[in-house]
Amino acid sequence: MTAREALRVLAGGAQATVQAGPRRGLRHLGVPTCGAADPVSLALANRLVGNAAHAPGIEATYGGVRLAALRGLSVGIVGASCGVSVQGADGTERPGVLHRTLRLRAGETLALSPARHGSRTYIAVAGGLDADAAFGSASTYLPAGFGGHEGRALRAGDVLRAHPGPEPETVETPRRLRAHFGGAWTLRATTGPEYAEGHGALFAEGWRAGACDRMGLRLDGAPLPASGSAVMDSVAVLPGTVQAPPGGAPIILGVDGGTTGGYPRAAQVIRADRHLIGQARPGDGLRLLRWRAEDADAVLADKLALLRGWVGAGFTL
Amino acid sequence: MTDARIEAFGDDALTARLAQPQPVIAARAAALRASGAFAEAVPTPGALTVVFDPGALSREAATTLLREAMAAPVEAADAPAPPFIVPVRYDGADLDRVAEHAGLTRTDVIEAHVGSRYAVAFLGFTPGFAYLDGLPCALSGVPRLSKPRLSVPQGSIGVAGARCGLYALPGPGGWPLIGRTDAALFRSGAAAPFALAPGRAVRFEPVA
Repeated sequence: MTAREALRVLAGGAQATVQAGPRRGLRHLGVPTCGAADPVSLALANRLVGNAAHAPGIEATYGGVRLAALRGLSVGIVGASCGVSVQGADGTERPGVLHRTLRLRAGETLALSPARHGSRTYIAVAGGLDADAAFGSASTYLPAGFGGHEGRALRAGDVLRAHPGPEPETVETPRRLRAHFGGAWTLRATTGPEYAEGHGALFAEGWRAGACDRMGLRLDGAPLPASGSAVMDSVAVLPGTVQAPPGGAPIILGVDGGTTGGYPRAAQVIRADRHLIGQARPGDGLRLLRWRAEDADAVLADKLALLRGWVGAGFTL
Repeated sequence: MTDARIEAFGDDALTARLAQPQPVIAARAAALRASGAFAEAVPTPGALTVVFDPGALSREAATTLLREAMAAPVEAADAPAPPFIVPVRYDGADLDRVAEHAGLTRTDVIEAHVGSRYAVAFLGFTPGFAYLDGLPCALSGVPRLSKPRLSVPQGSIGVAGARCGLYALPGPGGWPLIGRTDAALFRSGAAAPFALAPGRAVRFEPVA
């Protein structure tokens, strides 16, 4: 069966893209991880409509998205906290909520108000959105313009198609799995391969999230003292790598971050906490908590066990 | 025997540092990818980084696998492919800046760039971006732009430090740009979508 028209974009907000699972095994070609900046929230949203954890959905940045339902369909909304409202063709309005299956009738408009906390809210559609696959994933990669919906951010007038699927039952995300995003973040991180004495402030000081996008997040605060070699040959980097440019503000790489870099890798956010990088927003407080790699395994195992019980045994971070 | 030193990179990656030629490191990375033991195997200058799933493979087991792989004999490379020819329009936005830094005229810069033989050291940074060794000394040491461009067109050619770089796809970038090519560096949908791979020889030819 073919995908059918499901939603018309009325407003994309600051930046809305179609995001799905990561791109794996292609970093040697320079292809980044990509995918949802917060894959946990995408998985939870997909669960509300009975989709696989990585089914393509909409990643809204700071809310502000408006969508018109072109037929009756179910959606699941999880992530940065924003108000949800549904407006009927006759002007009547009813509220919706995050973390609960929401049914839209043909002609209704779904609107997300600006997000209060967190950055990214995911809207999953029953059946999963029909999206362009590239390099093994349907996720949009904006810098080179591939994947998702024509390789670009959504804009007013775009029509999104969704695959057919069974009508999902109405469910709610279990309370223990609902993250409550505030204005402060603690990310556990190991020291990085080029960690030097001057980088101690990374863990000792509080930071403020600065400019950020899907490629990375700058940390504002007292600049780190220049440490180690200022001129370095390129090294492998990963999402969660904390780069320390000489004398500058540290940068935490995001899912679309490059695969190699020329700055010292001062720290590395542990795998289990990387999904939170996608939710920090400019002005938020951010601390790096020094963690040992050996102790990160238990954190990952616990988080996965909790999530797999709800979104499916195949889910991984 | 190899002299690989293995170090931790966060909680789910390991880096083997090895003093071996870049094509050998690339071949080792390819063999590791084929083995399926690791999610990623990324060659960079003098190093090979692997990513493992700590939920599926213990750190000790991953370290042992990597150490054994670094000590294994590496497949001899195939007969070298002919040089990949890159026709270039030398009209890059930073050609004057590069000329000034090198103390050369624009024509001298172009001649120096065309006159050298290059080889792909590795791919990285953005999809298909190729780092080339072989930049002549006269053009070496140009610093990256203090303010990187948000988007650089596909086919752009830049120089920075000791290398020349080729953009197979559009992307952000801080490399001073000297020219642009229409060569097919990216073939959408192909099994090997990027024309260049580590070790491949590259020659530049000026076009009007």
